[in-house]
Amino acid sequence: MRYFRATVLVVLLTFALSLATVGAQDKTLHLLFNQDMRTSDPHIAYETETWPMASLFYVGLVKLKDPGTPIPALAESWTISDDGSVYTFKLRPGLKFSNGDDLTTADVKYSFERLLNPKTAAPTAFMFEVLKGAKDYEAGTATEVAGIKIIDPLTIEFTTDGPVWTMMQRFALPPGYIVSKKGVEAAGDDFGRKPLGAGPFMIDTWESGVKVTGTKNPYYYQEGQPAFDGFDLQLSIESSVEILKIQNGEADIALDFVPSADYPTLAADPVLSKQLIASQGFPNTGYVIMNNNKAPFDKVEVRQALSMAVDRDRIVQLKNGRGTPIGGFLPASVVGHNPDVKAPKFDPEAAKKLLADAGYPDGFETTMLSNLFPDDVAFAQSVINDLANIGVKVTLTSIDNAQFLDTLTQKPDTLDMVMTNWYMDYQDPSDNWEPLLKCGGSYNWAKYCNKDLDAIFDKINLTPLGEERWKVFADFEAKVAEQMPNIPLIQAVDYYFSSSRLNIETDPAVLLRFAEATLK
Amino acid sequence: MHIGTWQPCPDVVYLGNNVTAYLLRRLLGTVGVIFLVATATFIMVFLMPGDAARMYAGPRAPEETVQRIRVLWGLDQPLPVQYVRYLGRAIQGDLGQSTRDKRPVLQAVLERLPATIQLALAGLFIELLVGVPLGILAATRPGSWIDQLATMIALVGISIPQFALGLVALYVFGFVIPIFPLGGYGTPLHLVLPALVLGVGGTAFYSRVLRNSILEVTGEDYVRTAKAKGLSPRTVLTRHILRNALMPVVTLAGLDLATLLGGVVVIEAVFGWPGIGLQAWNAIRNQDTPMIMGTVLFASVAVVFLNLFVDVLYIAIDPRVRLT
Repeated sequence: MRYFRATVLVVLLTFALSLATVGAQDKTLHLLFNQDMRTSDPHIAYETETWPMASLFYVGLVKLKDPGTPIPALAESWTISDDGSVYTFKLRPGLKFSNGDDLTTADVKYSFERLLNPKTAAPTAFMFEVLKGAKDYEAGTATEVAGIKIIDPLTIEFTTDGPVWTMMQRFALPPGYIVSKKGVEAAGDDFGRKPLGAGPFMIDTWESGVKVTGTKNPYYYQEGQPAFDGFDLQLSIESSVEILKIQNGEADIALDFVPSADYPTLAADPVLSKQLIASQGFPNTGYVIMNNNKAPFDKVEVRQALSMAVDRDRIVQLKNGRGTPIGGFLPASVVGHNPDVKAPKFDPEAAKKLLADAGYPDGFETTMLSNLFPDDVAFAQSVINDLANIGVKVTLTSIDNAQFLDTLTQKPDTLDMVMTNWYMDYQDPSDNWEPLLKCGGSYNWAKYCNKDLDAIFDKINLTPLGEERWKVFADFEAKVAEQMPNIPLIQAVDYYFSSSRLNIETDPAVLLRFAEATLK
Repeated sequence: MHIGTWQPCPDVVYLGNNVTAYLLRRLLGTVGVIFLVATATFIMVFLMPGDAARMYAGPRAPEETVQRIRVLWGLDQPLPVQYVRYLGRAIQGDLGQSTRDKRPVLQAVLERLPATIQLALAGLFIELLVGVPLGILAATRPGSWIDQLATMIALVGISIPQFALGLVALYVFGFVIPIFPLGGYGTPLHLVLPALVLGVGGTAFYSRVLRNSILEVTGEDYVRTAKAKGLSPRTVLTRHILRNALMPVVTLAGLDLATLLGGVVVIEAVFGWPGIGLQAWNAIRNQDTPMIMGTVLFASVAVVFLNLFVDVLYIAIDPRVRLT
């Protein structure tokens, strides 16, 4: 009997302990991630988990209220020259890093020069290479970036090579976060795990592959934020197990998205579906590249026919309904997208006729490359199936991501079609046109080069952020859609799953707003 | 068979009195093997498709950025130069820096070692604790229900993928009946489920090996002699049968431990166990070249040294090995 009682007691205690993990009094933000966390260094971070991670410890001059509207953060105000090339920021007085050190414009200048310093090997340095003298600094022919000028300890001026109207959006991203020079120098190569910034939290412990913990930064510029005393981040938790942990009340939110397999169950549940949050950051387009330099893809009729032959609704079904079919070069949710540019009607008969008119009555044979991401392979197979119906026989090769990137960058001329996707860093139409479709763009594997469209783009890109800009880009998207340089398929939407006690919004710049999150 | 004349047993290495010379020879061989493994790893990693610098910089980084990273990491140097540099540093205990999180590889591997050792020992403990008695029971009552049950357990244990078993275990004992934590690392409670799941497959394996080994030894002449002398079945089993039948189990356990120390990728991934296996898996996914080489080299060193240890153990437990 004694043993029985003891056993019952142990079982009850275990229950109570597990239930009490996230109790009403618990003011710790419990985070999860399914891998090891690579870094919190905002200049090294470039993934959907490392950007929110960096935002726990750092903040930049501005944040974004919505994709096109900057709001004050470390800078309380700013002015932009009429030609969009000089950005002058006024810092809030009395700013401090989380260790109590003063934060001045010297730290701001240091941070941007660290980003651009080749020794940092920052994958996001390109976003600020538009600053005057940045390339000389990177090449080692200048000791500082000419386009960054300290006016006084609270005022700093950035000058770009010509107008760059997306600068304010770039300043809100992690590459624009301010780091402490002292912190960088003290931590050396370990700075990624020993962060020192002015963000909502400061680091306590970092156990590789296991756990990261932190406490509230008492010097955070925004009074009353964060609403939590601290956070803990459990690492290496399998994605499906993460969902169970959040349902169990053991955790608040995972930094990785809900896995495809778990989404239908959560979405169908009347209670749990309310805890799903659609991500606002990194809007994407899933699309098929066609090598515009090669026959038959050099004919616009052929490109249009292929686009018409694809059943985009099936692609959306393959994503368990998490997405919107698209027909233009922009994701449907992005400002500047033209709502009249719709996904082409799925019409294999019309496609077949168009193909015949273009000189391919019997179709043709070609190849497609994809990486091994399950979605990409499924999309590719679906598209290939559709194209077979109009006589276009496509052979698919799927390879792992490293090899995939290698092939795209090293042997783009060998490619016919490629199934891929593009995630925008900042939500402006230029972030899709310049890399994907401009002549010589860095991700323009379609080798698409239309000098007329480029000339229009260069002109409208001088329009400042705002309604006028979105209007001219909407017209531009319609013109591009007529050319169908690639086959746009879907804007996929990723979801976070949060605990029932957490109030958190997604952010267009860094995906999750930890500083503003509250308890219900 | 010539009764009364000693016959060399073909399965055993005869050392004579030169145990020290033998050990020295083995040690030298071990160093050679590690050198070969280091070379093979280097070659394999560089045969892997893909460019580590491009993977790091991402698809949209301009080629100049990628080239700067290649120079920074020494990837622009000819392969032989990279190889000599790698070996030179490795001899001094410097396995390089992770290209993913910039940390020293050796430090990162050593940090993961305690978790791996815990899981390996706990798993092996369960394998032997359940597998050995199950094997003995099955062998001493061949054809009985216990034997059939043991066969069934073995079949199930070997067939079910550890990934599936791990997820089911987590769902049942972590979520439905929340007795154990839902993955993670830190307390003894965290260790139970991964060790049990790891143990199930091994238990099945050991019980089968031991069962067959016992049945084989039972047919030997010395066992018949022991029985004829009128010794109790228990004494015959413990003194004569098990002593010999356990030999393959010792060998296997040693090698098994070596493999486990290299990390158990699937179990570590399902349970979020931060061991060397998980680290190797992440390194491969992210093409973190120095980390891949570091973890593989470490796992190989573990196998080679534990192999040596098992051989030494053999000398200790099997007197025949020392005969001239």
